[in-house]
Amino acid sequence: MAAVLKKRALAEYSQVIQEPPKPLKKLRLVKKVVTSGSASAYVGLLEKSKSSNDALQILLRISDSMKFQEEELTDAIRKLSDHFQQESESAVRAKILCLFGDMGREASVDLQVIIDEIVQLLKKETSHKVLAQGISALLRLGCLWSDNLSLHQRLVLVAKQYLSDTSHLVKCKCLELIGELQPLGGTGETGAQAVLRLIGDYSHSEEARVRSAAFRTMITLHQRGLRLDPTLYSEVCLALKDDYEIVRQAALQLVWILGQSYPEHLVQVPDSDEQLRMVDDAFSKLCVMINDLSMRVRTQAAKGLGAMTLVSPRFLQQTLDKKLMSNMRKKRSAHERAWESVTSGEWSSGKMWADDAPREMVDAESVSLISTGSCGAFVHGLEDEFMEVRNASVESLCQLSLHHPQFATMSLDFLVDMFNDEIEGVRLRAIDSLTRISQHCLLREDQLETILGALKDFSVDVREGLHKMLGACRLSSKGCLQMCVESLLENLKKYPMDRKSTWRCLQRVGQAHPELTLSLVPELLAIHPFLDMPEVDVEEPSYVSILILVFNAAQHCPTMLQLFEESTLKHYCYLRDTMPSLVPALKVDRSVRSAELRPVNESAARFLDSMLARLEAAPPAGRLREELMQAAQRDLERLAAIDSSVSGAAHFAAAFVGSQLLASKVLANRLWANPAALATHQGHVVRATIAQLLQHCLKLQYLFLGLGDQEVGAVRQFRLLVLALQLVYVVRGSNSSALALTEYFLEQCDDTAKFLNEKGLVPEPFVATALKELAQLEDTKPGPVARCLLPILQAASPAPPPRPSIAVQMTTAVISEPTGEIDAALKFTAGLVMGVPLDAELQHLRDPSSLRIKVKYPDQQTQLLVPKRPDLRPLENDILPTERQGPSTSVSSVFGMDVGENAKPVSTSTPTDFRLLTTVLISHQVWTEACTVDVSLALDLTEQEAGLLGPPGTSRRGAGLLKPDLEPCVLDLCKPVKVYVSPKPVKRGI
Amino acid sequence: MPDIKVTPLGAGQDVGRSCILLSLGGKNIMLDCGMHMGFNDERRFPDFTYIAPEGPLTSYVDCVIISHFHLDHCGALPYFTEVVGYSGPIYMTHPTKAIAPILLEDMRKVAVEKKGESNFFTSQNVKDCMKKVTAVTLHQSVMVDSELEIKAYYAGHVLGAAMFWIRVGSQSVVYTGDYNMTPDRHLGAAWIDKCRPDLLISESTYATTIRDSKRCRERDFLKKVHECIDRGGKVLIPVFALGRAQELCILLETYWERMNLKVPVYFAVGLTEKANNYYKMFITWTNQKIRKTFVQRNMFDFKHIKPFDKAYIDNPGAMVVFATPGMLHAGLSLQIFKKWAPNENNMVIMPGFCVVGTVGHKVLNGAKKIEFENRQVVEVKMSVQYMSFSAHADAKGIMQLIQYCEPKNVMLVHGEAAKMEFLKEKIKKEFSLDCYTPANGETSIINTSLCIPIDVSLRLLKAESMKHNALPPDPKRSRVMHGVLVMKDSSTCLMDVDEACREAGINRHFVRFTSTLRMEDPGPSSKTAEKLLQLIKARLKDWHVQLTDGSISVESVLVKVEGNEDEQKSVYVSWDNQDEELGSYILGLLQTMGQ
Repeated sequence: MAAVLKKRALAEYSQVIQEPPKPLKKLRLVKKVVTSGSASAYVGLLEKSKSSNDALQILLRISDSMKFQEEELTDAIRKLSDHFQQESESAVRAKILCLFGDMGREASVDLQVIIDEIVQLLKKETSHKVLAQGISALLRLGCLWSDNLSLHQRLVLVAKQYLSDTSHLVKCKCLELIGELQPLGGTGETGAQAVLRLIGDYSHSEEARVRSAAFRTMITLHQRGLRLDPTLYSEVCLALKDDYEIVRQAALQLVWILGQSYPEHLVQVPDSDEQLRMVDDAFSKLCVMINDLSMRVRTQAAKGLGAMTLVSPRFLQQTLDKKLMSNMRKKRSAHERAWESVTSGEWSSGKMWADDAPREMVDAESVSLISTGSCGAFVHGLEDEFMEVRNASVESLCQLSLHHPQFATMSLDFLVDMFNDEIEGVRLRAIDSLTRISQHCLLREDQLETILGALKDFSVDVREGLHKMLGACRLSSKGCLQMCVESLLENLKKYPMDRKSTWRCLQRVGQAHPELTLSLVPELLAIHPFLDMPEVDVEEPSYVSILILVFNAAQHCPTMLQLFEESTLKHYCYLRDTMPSLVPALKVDRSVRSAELRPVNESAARFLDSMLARLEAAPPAGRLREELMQAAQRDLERLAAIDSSVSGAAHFAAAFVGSQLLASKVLANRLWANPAALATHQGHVVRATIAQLLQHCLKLQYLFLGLGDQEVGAVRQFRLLVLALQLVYVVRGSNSSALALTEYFLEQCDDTAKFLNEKGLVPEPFVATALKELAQLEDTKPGPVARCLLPILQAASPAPPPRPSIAVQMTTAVISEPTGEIDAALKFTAGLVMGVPLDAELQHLRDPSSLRIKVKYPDQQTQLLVPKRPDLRPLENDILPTERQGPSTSVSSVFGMDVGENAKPVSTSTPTDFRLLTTVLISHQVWTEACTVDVSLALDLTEQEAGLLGPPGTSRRGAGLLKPDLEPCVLDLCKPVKVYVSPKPVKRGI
Repeated sequence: MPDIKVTPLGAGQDVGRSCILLSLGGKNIMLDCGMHMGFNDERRFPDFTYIAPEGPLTSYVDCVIISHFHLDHCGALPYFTEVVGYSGPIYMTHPTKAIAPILLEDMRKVAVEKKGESNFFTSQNVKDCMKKVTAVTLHQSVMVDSELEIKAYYAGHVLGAAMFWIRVGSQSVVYTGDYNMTPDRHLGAAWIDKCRPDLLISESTYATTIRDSKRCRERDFLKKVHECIDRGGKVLIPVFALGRAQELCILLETYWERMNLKVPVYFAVGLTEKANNYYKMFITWTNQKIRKTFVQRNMFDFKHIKPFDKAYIDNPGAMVVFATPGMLHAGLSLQIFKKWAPNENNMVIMPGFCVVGTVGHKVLNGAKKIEFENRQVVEVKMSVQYMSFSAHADAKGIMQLIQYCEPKNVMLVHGEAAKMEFLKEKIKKEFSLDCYTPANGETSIINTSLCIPIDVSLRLLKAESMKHNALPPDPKRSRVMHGVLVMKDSSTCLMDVDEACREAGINRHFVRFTSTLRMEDPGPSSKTAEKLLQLIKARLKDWHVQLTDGSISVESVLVKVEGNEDEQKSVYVSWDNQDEELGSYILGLLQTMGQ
């Protein structure tokens, strides 16, 4: 009996499974209906709550759900306010007011009613906490209605009234409200200037928080466009000496704002007749604040200095000044000593201990131990205990240097010193800053020496930063250049992976110093006047480096060409062909040089166009077209390889044509007629081809940037065709369920139709018929759909490929590290993890989040690793550093606390070119011998394209392992690199 | 007692043997209890008989505060507690408590076992002494007894060095110990809040020096070491065990890390290893970088620095060795020096000052041949470098600290008299503060203003606050509070009049003063009143003046005009005794109105 029951249950169960698929329409209807009334229901509950605690719990739930029906809102407000009047617990009352503030965001609510209600409720209120909450609710509501000046005026009046409250909380909130909502125009009692005076009074409050809030209100008003009065300045300066950090912070910002807004306004110097420009005075005030007690104030001061580019050079130069003395005798700083040793023409004697011996006696009267004005501000800032301050100082130093070339020369030494900072972020910033100011200064030998010392650094970022910096700077003498080249070559020997950036660096150095290079050519190339030296291997990286330097210099110095030996010229030809981006075209003898190919943009584009036009003109079906397409695909691929300017477009066209060819091959297959044959071995070929087609579709969809509507439309339609193919195949040729697939297909049909409609594109014949037929179909089970599709499919002819614009770019990746040429196997203990450094460049990557590192082990196990986000750095394509960032002038951008250790300047558009610098983690069980592991980069689209893979949930990926059935969704971006590894067994018995 | 008395027993116009007696508010506090390293007789300890000629001192000293573990600041402590017999409380920071006994024990060993001195404290004495110590944390306020409060601030200098803020009643003193205002590789900079003490007792070792940035010196140091090992040379760095040694280790360690160098760095095992364990533990006392990175890796867990073995001296190839002692006068560092000196590839880096007569001093002065006791002559071909890393505040730093904590008086100790003089003048000139530089045994008396704290009843305060807050704040407006000063037992309290009356059980009586003026003004009396109102309103702008049924009232002052339609009017002015000032002002106003 039990067996029967079980059987029946199973039968019922399986019936449930075979429930007919939901009709198409329903899919769109399954939107979540908002369950209404929850919040209002809670409001109702509020009346019944017994204790304040209950009430508070209910209020919290209301604020969590926060959904009100339009008609219930007024009722809810009334109930809440009733409860407010009965409630004895201040926390509950505060929460109610907070809720009022939240409710303002509901579209249907009448703000005026709520505001009136709050004002009314506050009248009888005594609790400071509730008052403060009420004011902040008013502020939020006021902000929502940003153009209602009379309302703002009224709210400001209310706030002014509560300013007389004894609690700082309420006062601060009132000041905040005034700052945000005070209408800027107007005169008299309610005018902005009168209000400003009132706020000014509160900057003398006994409570530090109120003082700070008063200053912040002024800042807010300034940001909203109110002109602050320059006479305010002297008063604000007094607040810089406040005992409280928050007040000093706010006052500091205000001083900065005033200094920036009225740079030329004259300020009386206390205790003298002298007058100073306000920007100068503010600058020196900020400089003094660099010695402040609080780290935050120091950081702010250091940040603020950078934007004050209008300051006079006299003040600026003092910031780097520090008189040294030892035992009452004057002493020179290391910088001065270095400078002297250079100017006097002799090098340091090497005898150290008396080298810095103090010289003449200092007059005790003349020594000032307290920094006045801007004296030594940056010296202090750069020596600060906290990284934040040092970072901000470096940044400011750099910004000021950009505007004051003379100051740049002075600050050079200090920036170079910062290369020795203990925190890498600061070192990097110093290097970056130096790169940016490098066009302003000429490097001396001693300075260069210290800079080059940092080339030995282990950190890639530091080295590459230095390469960039060296490429941008100007060297003063031949000795400098020689030293620079030597260190770079040494660096290359020690860190071979720096090859590319070293070359790029030397390229720039060569371009910038043709004359200096000229004098070094015989030495560099080892040209002997009488003897023929052995020819160097042209693959040798250090030799290539030198050649790059020399050739780039020769570009600007034609006389150099005569110095070259024959072998050098041959090498030139080779290098010019292999790395055209690094080696410029030189006017060498024609006999040696094969004809230079000029890039021919237009003709390539025209060629592409004509090829596609010919395809369009071809007969719609038959052998001829097929052959034509095959030829076109070949040509396009070649074109893509030859000419970089149209490569994206050509790739796209080639891929499209190729996919069409593949599709037509599948369609031409006779197997469709016979479901039995489809399930055989040959059927598997079909299946594999379909999978391949799917992947092609995804490639067309995701690998290209800058596709127009036309192209996208074509891709989507083609994709529909492939999906239809897949569906038909699954229904006819396999016994697996096609329910989900059908659903997905129909969904896609809908989407594509909508897309075509929106963009005004004419559907291709196949899509048009398919859509029409499907619309007539009543049953959306897989069977009927497939039956309906098959004839349409078989009748379909490939549409002509769209003509992509040449702006189309294809995502590409180049792995430069590991090189795959290393013979020695990397050993690690089996089961544990080994890191392999990976360095790759990615171009035109649309969505960095889908990027994966694909690791394929010899046992065909494939892993997809998600690279760490910070390891993926946007590439700045040779944008001049100065253009990157103008002087920031808004308060928030200067004082915003967002500048962290690694904060980089944010570019305006989302970057598409990246450099991936990361470690690939490899792990495996024991192997008997070393084998190669394939490492490559891929895009993982399983998330976006989950529908392609059948019903969700059935084939989820587990623990980074790639299942074969997911493979269509993983698009390779480059050829795999082989890494030779050998997992060793764990040694036992230690 | 409004005076603060300070008597240095050591470190007055002198370096070494820091020991300062401080008495404020009736409490006696000993700041540091150090020994002098230059003497071997009784002068090495402070003269404790100054405090009391005989017997235990516990009743004379309320507490002892030790600023850091250097022997010239804590060396005499076991002697003071165990031999002299002080048994009161002793305060120091946790790292100091951990490391000080290691140093004390080491010094004891050297003194007793090497130099064969008797009459010295024993190993047990050190242990017993340390048991009496109370450890404190930074910014922790410790009540020594009901009146005496102390609080430690970070001082840089060495691990665990602290400045102490000491308060009795309303008087307070800050004692800095040794401190450093510029951060170094392992410690941060000294920091103190605006505590506005009556007296700041500051060290002044570098009173006449302003130093260059540390970075240049560090870079020079690293460059030299790197060049030397690049050419395969050996580098010897003689160091003293604690403090600078750790700084240099961190410096080299991070550099090795940065440059990915593989050359071995050795550290001669000694008490340093023990101390390094404490450095690892007290990460919170170190600088930002070490504190931030210790989760990944404790910086004192040196990866590149390994313990030294004497057998390594003759190892071929480059290496860097830290060895004690710092002046090359004895021990391992001298031994290594003898071996390495004849090779010109090698290098010795002296990281600090060397006393005259030591090998270090000779070498620094360029001696090419050095003769040792046993007629052994060593040629010095190795390069000799001097690199000063000192962790005291320079003149600018001292001034900065004064600026930070805003004291009312400054006292300089722990420095040379002549140098102090310069700084003293500077302090007087720039801050216009009184500055004292007492010599050892000399007592300075600092007068402080006396404050008497008074309790005020909350109601009174609240009422005043309400009144004050009704108008926008104005620093010029005075804040007046009317109340009765009630002195009961030892407490004084300002109370509301009614409250005080209730407490005392007396009915409150009001006294009103009334004065009548004669005035000639024709017209009805209400008109006259109106005129007077205008007048008073014009004069008393910020006051609340109102007219109620014919009489003008300001606060409790009433002005009433009486009389008929004829010329003569009598004006009554009446006021409460609380508003005496206002009342008489108005009366005066009305009286002089005619003129």
